[in-house]
Amino acid sequence: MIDFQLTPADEKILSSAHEQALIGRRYASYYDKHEDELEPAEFPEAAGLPNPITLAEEGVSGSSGPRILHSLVMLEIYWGGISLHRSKWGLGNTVLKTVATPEQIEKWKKHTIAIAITEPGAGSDPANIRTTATFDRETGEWILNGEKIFISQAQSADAAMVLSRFIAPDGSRGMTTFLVEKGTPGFTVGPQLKKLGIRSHDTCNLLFENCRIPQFNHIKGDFKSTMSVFNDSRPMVGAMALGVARAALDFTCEKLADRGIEVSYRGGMRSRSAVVDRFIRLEAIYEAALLTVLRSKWLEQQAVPPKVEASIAKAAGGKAARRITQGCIDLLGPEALSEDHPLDRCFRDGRIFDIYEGAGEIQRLIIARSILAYTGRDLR
Amino acid sequence: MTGTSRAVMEFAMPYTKERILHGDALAKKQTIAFRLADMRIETDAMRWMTWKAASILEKVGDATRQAQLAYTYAGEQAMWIADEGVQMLGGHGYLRDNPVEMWYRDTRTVSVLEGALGV
Repeated sequence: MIDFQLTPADEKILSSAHEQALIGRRYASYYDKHEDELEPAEFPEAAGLPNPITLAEEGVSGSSGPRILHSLVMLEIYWGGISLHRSKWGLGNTVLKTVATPEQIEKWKKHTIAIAITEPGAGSDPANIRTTATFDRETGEWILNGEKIFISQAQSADAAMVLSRFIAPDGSRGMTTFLVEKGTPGFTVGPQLKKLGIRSHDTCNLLFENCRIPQFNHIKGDFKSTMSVFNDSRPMVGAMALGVARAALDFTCEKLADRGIEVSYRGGMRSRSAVVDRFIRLEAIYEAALLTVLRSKWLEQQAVPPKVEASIAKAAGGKAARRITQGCIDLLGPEALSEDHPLDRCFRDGRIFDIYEGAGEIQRLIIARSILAYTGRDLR
Repeated sequence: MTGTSRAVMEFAMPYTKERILHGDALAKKQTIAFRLADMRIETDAMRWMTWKAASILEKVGDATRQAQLAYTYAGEQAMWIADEGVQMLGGHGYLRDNPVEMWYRDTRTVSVLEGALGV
């Protein structure tokens, strides 16, 4: 009835993803130190190699399913630190695919579209955004004004899907989305943000100053449909977090072995050393979170919307990356905090996953509302 | 331990929804709601870890690592959940008539019964 084993088809793709992650690891340190440089769309070593994400998404005969496999591939990529193939898909593409007209999809289907939601005063509370579009009756265009911050793929994307307030010609108001192409006058992309970690991750602020948007670029998504893209991405972020966490665990295990400390799973707590006990507890956190990710992805494959489970996976993955990377440094001592030490980068990279795409607290809010049958008004 | 954790969570949810504190349901306070959410996260995780260990035991035979991880994790989380359950119920959770008091004691016992793993 229940089988947690990988299939041979899974193993083949994951093995290829792992080989590529090993190559990616060679570059991870460089881009960690050169955060103003954008990685190439494809690293030279990637030439001729299949993109494991594409393979997973397309579905492989005999695999555990595209959603599960995709999350495990992402875990491998984050284990290495850098993907050899830059993603051409942004969350803005998901909005386009979900709510745009066939003509709009046709026009932008080959574009990479970043999603732009967060603002200086609206992070965890996106309903509080202030970016506004007003309609110009004379030209039939929308005029967009506002600022978006912490935008992923800001530099590498071809366009941004911007969540905005609108004031329609008839005076009605609400929230909607506009596709703003790069090069549109009044649309400025700021410099790369200087971050604690994930320094190779393309992240900038966006500014819209009297930015005129053709009516055709009005993608009629609303607040709910825009936020729903995160249902799919949340467990994926959990998987990414676990890639970083596993890199920290693997590295720590190797270093402990160098010091003659073997991690044995036999015996109980009272028969093992404090170091081994701590390591096993960290590994257990990893396993626990991984299974919540797989559960969420499995539900997706059964066409069951995993609303609570997606948040559980995100919350568990985010917390696991924090605890595990911090805990591994405890085990290896201060040398692990050297800039050239892989664990230092894991520690810094691992901190983001409980913050972006809905902080851990927001996930708990979603879970609590669901299990207690509360509305957003009941529990804030 | 997955069982006691689920029992505590399922008991604490309706209790905190009915219990009024400072004019509002206790469950509407984030400090309580977030802890209930964590109970759900950890109970789910414990269940899948138990299933995985059992599955490996059946299909592979040796599930030493997976069983150790499942037991270690469940021991820690179940005790936390039972402890928080007593805390949410306050004085009522301390009374012998209340099932949360029993689950608190039971979890403390089950989470140290590691003899089987030691063997």
